[in-house]
Amino acid sequence: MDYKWGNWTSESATFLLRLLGLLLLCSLWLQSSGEEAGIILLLFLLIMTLARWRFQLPGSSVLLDQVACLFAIIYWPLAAFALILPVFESMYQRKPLFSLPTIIFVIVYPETSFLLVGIFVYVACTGAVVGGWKQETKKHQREADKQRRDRYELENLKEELLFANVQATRMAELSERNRIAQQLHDEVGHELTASVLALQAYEQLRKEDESVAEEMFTEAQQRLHNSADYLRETVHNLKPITDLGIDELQNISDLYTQCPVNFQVFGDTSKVPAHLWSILYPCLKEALTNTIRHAKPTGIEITLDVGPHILRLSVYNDGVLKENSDKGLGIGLRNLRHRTKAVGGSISTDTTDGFLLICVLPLE
Amino acid sequence: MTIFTFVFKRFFRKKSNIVFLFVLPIGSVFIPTAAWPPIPLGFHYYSLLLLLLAARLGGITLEDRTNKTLLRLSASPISHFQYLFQNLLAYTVILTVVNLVFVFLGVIVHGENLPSPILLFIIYTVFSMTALGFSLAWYSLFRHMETAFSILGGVIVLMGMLGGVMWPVEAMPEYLQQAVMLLPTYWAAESTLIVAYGTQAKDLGTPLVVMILFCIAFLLLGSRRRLT
Repeated sequence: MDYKWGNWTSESATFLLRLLGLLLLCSLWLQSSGEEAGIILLLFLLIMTLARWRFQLPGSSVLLDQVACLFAIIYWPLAAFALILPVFESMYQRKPLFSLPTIIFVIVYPETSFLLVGIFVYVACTGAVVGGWKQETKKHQREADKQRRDRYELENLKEELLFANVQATRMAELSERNRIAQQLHDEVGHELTASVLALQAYEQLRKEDESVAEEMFTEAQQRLHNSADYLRETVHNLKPITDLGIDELQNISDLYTQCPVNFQVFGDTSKVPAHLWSILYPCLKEALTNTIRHAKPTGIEITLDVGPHILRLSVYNDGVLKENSDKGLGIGLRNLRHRTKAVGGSISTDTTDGFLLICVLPLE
Repeated sequence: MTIFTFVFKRFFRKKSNIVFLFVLPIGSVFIPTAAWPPIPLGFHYYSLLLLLLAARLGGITLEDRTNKTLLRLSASPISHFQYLFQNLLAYTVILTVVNLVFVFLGVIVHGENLPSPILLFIIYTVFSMTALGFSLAWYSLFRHMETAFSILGGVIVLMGMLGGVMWPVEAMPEYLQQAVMLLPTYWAAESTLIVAYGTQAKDLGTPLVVMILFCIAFLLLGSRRRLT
């Protein structure tokens, strides 16, 4: 029953109220002595109601109803009650001025009773309320549509950003490689070439036993020494300040102290590009955070498996779900799912026995 | 007017339809005058026949809906209004021809006993439109032809009985006498009685207006586009 009440819309309420008005008029007509004007009026009002249901009639069409009612009053005095329909419609369409003829009629008509006025006021209020309901619904629908559109746009934007992220990582890698090559060529390369030349000259001079040979050797030695320095410097510049790669992953799992963590790595982790690490870290963090929040595990197993084409990170805990935790995906996991999707991977979870999260990413 | 002409082709393709369309009216022409009303009985019952014929004709629209013709039409450049208008026009033409034949035969068979055949023809034409509207509205409520048609038969007979076609309305209880004014058959019977008793032609105005109003109401109800 609750479900059916939930299905009520302003349209169905309007339909029902119109039908109810007609039925009441019909029973009123049945109780009065049979007047042919009554049935013509009833049919006319029925037609107007059906037309309003089928088409979008202008607000001024209620004037037509009122004229018909006022005409019918000459033959059938109870037709005054039929004015409730146009009054309802004009208030429903938020155009109270169109029920002016009815107001004038109520003032002018000598047999206006308190009942008649009361019914008009009541019906006008009902019409206004239902009309307001309809407008409210329309407003909310429009708002919901706008929000939905905005959300789709944002999601698109997010995907584009994630894609751009991957691109930027690749670009950074390339420019970094370029820089290294340049540095090696400009500094270390020149020094090495020079020292090779110096050594060749020294060899020649030593055969001829010249005194300058000793000098040449010292120079070559100096140059080799320099290039060793440059090389050390370059390598030192290349090394990132924070740990990258498997060490950081190990760090994250070490920081988790709530229960014993078994961390296993298979395969060559040096093949994993930097932008995938930036997904694996939050993935592991998210899984561990979720474990703290939603489960009470006795042990956690983390496995990183790097194959020739894909890498697979699985985080498993044997804890049962806490009672208050909801089943749906949280924002964190949804975000991660987006990011993995952007690099062509996937995240899946399984809650049948404990909690298992598997993140699969492709390697190029 | 493709749909218009197609209605004829389609309806008269079945020989049973032609028989149905003409045998019943022609047969009822020959029913003699009884104690009530003062008109050959067939001419009083004719409104029921019209309802039945309209039901047969209007079934085409339901058939179109059930075998998805309407769905295909909605994808064609034919508007729903055109479809309905041409169909209804064709049905009206068919029924008008039947009315004409019926009244013409009546004049031949009954001669002077048949009062003002022209007025009768006008009544029948107006009522056949009402009947078509009724069948259109009726079929718009159903999904299956068999159910709709079988219930409709009972409803038509009931409407005839209550509406004063089978016996005078005055024979019924007081409270029913006014309620049955809400049935279109009442007005058809009323108008034939007005003609039968030879009252003034201007008295026919109200029944005719009511029948036209009924027709409009039914059309508004039945012309809703339903594709399933």
